[in-house]
Amino acid sequence: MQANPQLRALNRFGLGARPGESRSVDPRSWLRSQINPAAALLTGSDLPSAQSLIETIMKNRARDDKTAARKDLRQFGRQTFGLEAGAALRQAMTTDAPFAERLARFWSNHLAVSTVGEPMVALSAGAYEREAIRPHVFGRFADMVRASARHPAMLIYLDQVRSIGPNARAGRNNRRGLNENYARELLELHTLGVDGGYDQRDVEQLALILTGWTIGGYVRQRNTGPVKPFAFADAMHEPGSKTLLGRRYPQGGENEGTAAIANLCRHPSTARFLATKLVRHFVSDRPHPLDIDIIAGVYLDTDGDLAEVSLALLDLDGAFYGPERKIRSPQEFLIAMGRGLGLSKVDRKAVSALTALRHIPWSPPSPAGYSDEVADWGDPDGLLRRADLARMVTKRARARLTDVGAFAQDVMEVRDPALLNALLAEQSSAADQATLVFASPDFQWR
Amino acid sequence: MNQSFLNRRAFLASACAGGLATSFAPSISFAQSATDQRFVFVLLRGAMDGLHAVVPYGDPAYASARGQLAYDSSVLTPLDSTFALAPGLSPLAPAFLEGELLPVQGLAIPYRTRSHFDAQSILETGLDKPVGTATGWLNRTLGVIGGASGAGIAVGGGLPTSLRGEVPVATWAPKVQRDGDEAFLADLSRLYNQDPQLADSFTAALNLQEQAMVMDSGGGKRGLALFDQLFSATGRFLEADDGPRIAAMEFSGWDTHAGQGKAGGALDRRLEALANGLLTFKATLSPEVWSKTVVLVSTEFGRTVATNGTGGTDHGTGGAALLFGGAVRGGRVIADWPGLASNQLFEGRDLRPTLDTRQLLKGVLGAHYDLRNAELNQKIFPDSGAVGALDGLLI
Repeated sequence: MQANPQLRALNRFGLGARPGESRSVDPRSWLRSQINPAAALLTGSDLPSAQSLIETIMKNRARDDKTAARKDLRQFGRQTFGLEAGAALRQAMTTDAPFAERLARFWSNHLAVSTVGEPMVALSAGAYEREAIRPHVFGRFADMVRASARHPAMLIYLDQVRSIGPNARAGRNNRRGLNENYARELLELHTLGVDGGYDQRDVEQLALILTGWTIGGYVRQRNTGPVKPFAFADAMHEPGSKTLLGRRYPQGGENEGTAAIANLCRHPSTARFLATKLVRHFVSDRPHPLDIDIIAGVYLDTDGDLAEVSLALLDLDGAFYGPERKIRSPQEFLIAMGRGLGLSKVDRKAVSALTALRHIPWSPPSPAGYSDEVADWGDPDGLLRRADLARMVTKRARARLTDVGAFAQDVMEVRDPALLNALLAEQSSAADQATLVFASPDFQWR
Repeated sequence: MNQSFLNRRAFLASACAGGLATSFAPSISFAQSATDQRFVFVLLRGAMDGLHAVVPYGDPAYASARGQLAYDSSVLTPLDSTFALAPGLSPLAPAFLEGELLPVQGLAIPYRTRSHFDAQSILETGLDKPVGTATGWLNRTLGVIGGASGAGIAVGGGLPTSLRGEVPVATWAPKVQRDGDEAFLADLSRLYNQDPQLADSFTAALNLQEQAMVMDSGGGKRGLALFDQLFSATGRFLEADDGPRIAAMEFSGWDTHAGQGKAGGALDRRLEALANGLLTFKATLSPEVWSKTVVLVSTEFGRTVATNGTGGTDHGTGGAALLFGGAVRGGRVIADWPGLASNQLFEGRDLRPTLDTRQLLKGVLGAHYDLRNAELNQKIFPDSGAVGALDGLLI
């Protein structure tokens, strides 16, 4: 099958072609023009900041009617989650800079938080993506990791908020106060990668370095100061120097963690790990070693400048012409249908269909985030559910459908146009035709 | 029934009988399957705290080593002088007495890691180090026992690594309500037949759809209710004469770094849901099928012996597993118990592993499917000749 570079730009690097775009877009210059920090922000909304969320939580905690307070908070959490997920979906379906949006989603998933079993994360996951991830999509990776480490969603999700140095003032009465969950995932999933050359001792040392990174006023009786999304609580911080990856960190309070994050982000293993994930996400489930070398090299040469790294992805050999394809994730599939039909929202039922497809926003089963490989998304049950979802979406968009055959060629690379047209001719309505197009295997690939 | 519907049905049947889709037709081909034995692999993702499930209450160091999370023995169900079932697992006590439950303690994969993802990868691939692209030992087992396509099924969500491989398998999850759209699906299958990467998967979906339509799944459940629903579904799949014979299930939510709790706490409630799910599974099967059934409940590793600073436990090493089924020779606990005193721990913090997970897997599969050593040591668990099978696990 002949690769179509316009459609590759729109589908592989974007979030799905809109009718007409494949004839008007110059692939590389269109994508390059999106490398602009403002393009990755989610704006024009009155969504709550982390500060206001934490204030809401604390006000709720102070109430005397505990049961009702908890119920109210849960209700508020569900509302906030719905608003945030809706806003993110709307932006993905309507943005003129879908490459920037894809990158925002990639990094948000790389430094994943998850609402699974965590009501406080359900409340703050949207704010996390808007505040910690999006401002740094074309900035330095180290700044993004630092923002992630300081955000209440991550502090709560990986238990950092309550981790206390065993010799810290706040820890002396406990047997142990350390929780190494965040430190381990920071090494394994966010920076070096599991084979990146660290051991259990490094995990523990990093956990000690990070003690005291918490939410202001959040942990009871820990003297963490006024209510704010991030606070460094000296009383929880392990005194003394630490040694991480052979480098000594003299006692320095909050600066120890900031320096450790900067050094981890500068590590060659981090460059390789991120390069592998990026190439795998955009180009192939089996990333080519040369492509990884190129991206890792750009990352190291530019001290982790993600604008330069994003630019370099567009110059990889396989980017526009290679035989490799990537499967669309269920969210990408839903968004691509929306963009194809020119929708700015889909109904509640379609969003909840993402539950059945195991791809609820900000809810991966583990801190590794969601996979982007065909082995995870091309399973039998999933393919049938995509057809169900396609039917739900087209049912609401009947009026927008005219020449579905031409539409199909305009938004996806069609493997067998004659067969598709023959089958389209057998459908009894334009909605059924569009369902067939969206449910077809060609639309599952990008 | 109108003409075009019939035509399309006929096409669907022929698509299954030839071409790319040849290998898929569980409901047709399974009748000739080589085996009648049932096996279910239940993976608890996130590292279930084995010391909080099969509780070593009789170890003299238990209470002091565990600290805040140590159970008071009055809430436990003793199994022998060393081990007891956690309160949440007490629904399984009668099964233990009847010899249908066999807890295993001190188990670990053959590679030391505290990474969930590496450890799950090793547990699911059956290899001795993490290899991202490897196939799973359940799928290789299907290959060895001559399981036709459709003899394997993943229940609950996606296709886990353990079932990935050359033998095509099905996936199923609840909450599918499709009205009579066979014609549409037939059209769609013609498109999928053109796609080399997705054709097999889609055909498997259609075949499974026929089976699933007769099942009332009652809508998708969430949280702890999911256990019962998925175990019930798995039971019904395995009970069917022409249904699958090997199933993989998985449940997450075991990564209890904080607020793990004791009797009635967060982890205990999850264990209780697991125990009741297992009993539901048994109740779904006929006595005859139950007598040929083995369920293995396993997890990627254990957790630290001591309670951490946040009322939970961190990633550890030695862990626990459960064997459950009519074919299991239970009523005892398998453990070469290393002890919980600080000088007995692995790296001063974890339960020291005394059993390689593959010993358990080989012992179960070898006995259940009457496998030769060469099949176990080469085909299913490559280059594992040095790792012997545990004997006497099954009746």
